[in-house]
Amino acid sequence: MSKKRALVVDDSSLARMMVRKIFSTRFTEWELLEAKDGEEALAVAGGEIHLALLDFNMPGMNGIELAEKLMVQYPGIALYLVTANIQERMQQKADALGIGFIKKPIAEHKLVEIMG
Amino acid sequence: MFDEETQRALMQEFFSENREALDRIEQGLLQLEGMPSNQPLLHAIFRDMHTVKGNCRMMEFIRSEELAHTAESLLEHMRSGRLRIDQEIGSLLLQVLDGLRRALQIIEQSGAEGEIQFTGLLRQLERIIARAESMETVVEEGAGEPEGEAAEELLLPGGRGGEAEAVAGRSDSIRLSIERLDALLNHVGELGAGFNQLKYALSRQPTQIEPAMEGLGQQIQTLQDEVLRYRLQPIGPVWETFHRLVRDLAVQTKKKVLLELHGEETEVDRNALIVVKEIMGHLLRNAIDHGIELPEQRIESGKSPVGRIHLSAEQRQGQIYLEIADDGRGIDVQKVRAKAIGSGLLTEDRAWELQEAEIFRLILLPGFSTAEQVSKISGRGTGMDVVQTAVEQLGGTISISSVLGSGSRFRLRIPQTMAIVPVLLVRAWGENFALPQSGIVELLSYHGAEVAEHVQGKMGAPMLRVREHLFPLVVLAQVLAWGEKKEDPGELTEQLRGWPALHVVVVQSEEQIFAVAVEQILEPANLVIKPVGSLFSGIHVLAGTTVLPDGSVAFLLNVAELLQS
Repeated sequence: MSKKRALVVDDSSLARMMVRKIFSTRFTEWELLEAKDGEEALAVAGGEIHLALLDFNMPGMNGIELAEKLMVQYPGIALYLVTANIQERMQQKADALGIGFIKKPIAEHKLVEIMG
Repeated sequence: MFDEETQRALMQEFFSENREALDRIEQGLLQLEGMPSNQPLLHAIFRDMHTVKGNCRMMEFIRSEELAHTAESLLEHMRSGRLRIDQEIGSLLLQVLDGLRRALQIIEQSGAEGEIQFTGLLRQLERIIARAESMETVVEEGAGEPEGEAAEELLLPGGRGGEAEAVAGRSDSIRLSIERLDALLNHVGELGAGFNQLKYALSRQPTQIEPAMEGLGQQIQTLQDEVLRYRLQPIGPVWETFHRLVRDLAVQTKKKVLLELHGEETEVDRNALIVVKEIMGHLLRNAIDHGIELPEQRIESGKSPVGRIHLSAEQRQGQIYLEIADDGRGIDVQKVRAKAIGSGLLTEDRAWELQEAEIFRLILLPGFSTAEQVSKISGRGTGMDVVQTAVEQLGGTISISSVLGSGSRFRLRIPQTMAIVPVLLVRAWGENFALPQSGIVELLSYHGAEVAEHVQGKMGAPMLRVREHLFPLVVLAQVLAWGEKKEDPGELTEQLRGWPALHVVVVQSEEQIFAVAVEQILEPANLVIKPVGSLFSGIHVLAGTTVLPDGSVAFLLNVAELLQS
């Protein structure tokens, strides 16, 4: 079976690097794709994506706008918004779209939890 | 949690990314001082500060994180318009950058933040933030709440509620109790009425008095407009509460819904706002429950799994146009028609005569529902008749359009201010009536042979030919002849053609243009409108009452209902 694929979208290269390090040590059965903003995320070449970790504050489209587009492109994708401080209104918007939350910075055990 | 090599790589990334971001913020701040309202620039600065904060948190440098976080809060106030960059804020933010750079240097040398403290900078930032926050507050449970709380207060002119953001730097606001405001409005109304009476009494010797009166009239008008403006509040705070509603309904129904808002700054009369909230809440519930499909169904029909609901508000010429549009399954016009026939609301012939827009309006009738199952959320009949009643109460109109499979759109039009309405006074059935000027297209009078030339019958119903167009012709006296014997349409047409003179007001309701025949067209006026008493509240044609210059009472007519009757 081919590797499962995850996508991390964050305009902070440190944040992406952190996720990359966690994946390369802990989730070797996953292939990790990276993008620095929504536009780049949508251009990621073909195939299936099973999980995406999205920053909220990014240049161009925000995490919620991107999430909606990813749902169209990858039906069945598991989506998580990664934010430091969750505003109530943002939480409500994400809930209404069926998107999960991960507190920033991403803790390894939290990823283990959502990736099974 | 990482090995040494990984940790080193992360730190390197931390330094280089933070330094780049701090440099960009510095550049941005310098540019911003020259163009304080440049939003894209402000957003970019905010995002970079946010990245710096996030990076400090990731690497657990808590004092730098706190400084970046506080600076970010200040930038957030700038972004929402509560603060504007000035020399004080500009220099303070530049000092923050220096502080963060110093911290980076110390961390680079020692691997930790060491003794560094930002107490002074934090205190200065917090002082400015507190200043911005003191500008909002006040109507915490303002806009959307039911009336009747004892000590209500409004923040003027940017009254607000909930978590919504206050409008840019409104430090020149005043506080005024609703009670006082209403009293003031009453006085102004009376003043207007007094003026009208005086004008009437003096109308027989006009030469000297006229110019002075004109001036006085204008002053009163200005005063009225000004006071009415006090009652206006932006619709945004009311809409904010809908995010929670949408969230709860989406979770409950297992649907995915994106709520989009447009025109939050549109100002609506405070009393109307409460009703508008109810109406739009109903329509929103209805859209999620019956309009938006389950994600699987949406994907099957080639749609995004996420249903969109778009709320918009716009003010044009004293009217507020509200719209709620969804991209759900739409309303099945055939089902509505069949149901209307089945439940005896319409005869089969009549049902096939009706335009689509008129068929959709049937769902606003009490007890009408096309949903196959009664749902817990919007219940049987979905309370759409409540919507109709509420819209009428506001003196507004509602129209519905829908495309099966692609969604529905509800359009509402309500007057922006409810108390004083520009009207045209007409006479019919031996009484005076007021027609809202907003619905009037033109006034026409025909005499002698012209009458028969312009009045025609179409399938028995009287029509008026205006230039090349043919409009339905409603005789006001007929509409108002409650309980009395009404003329057969064919006979009515013949009678009309024989009239020596015909005065008509061409009006536009939400769906169409039609002509209203009256006995006499009197004059335009600005009148204080009061709700109709309970005795007449079931008569939809009447939208309110008003006292005329001669002291008599006239009814304000609901234009949209004239044709329905």
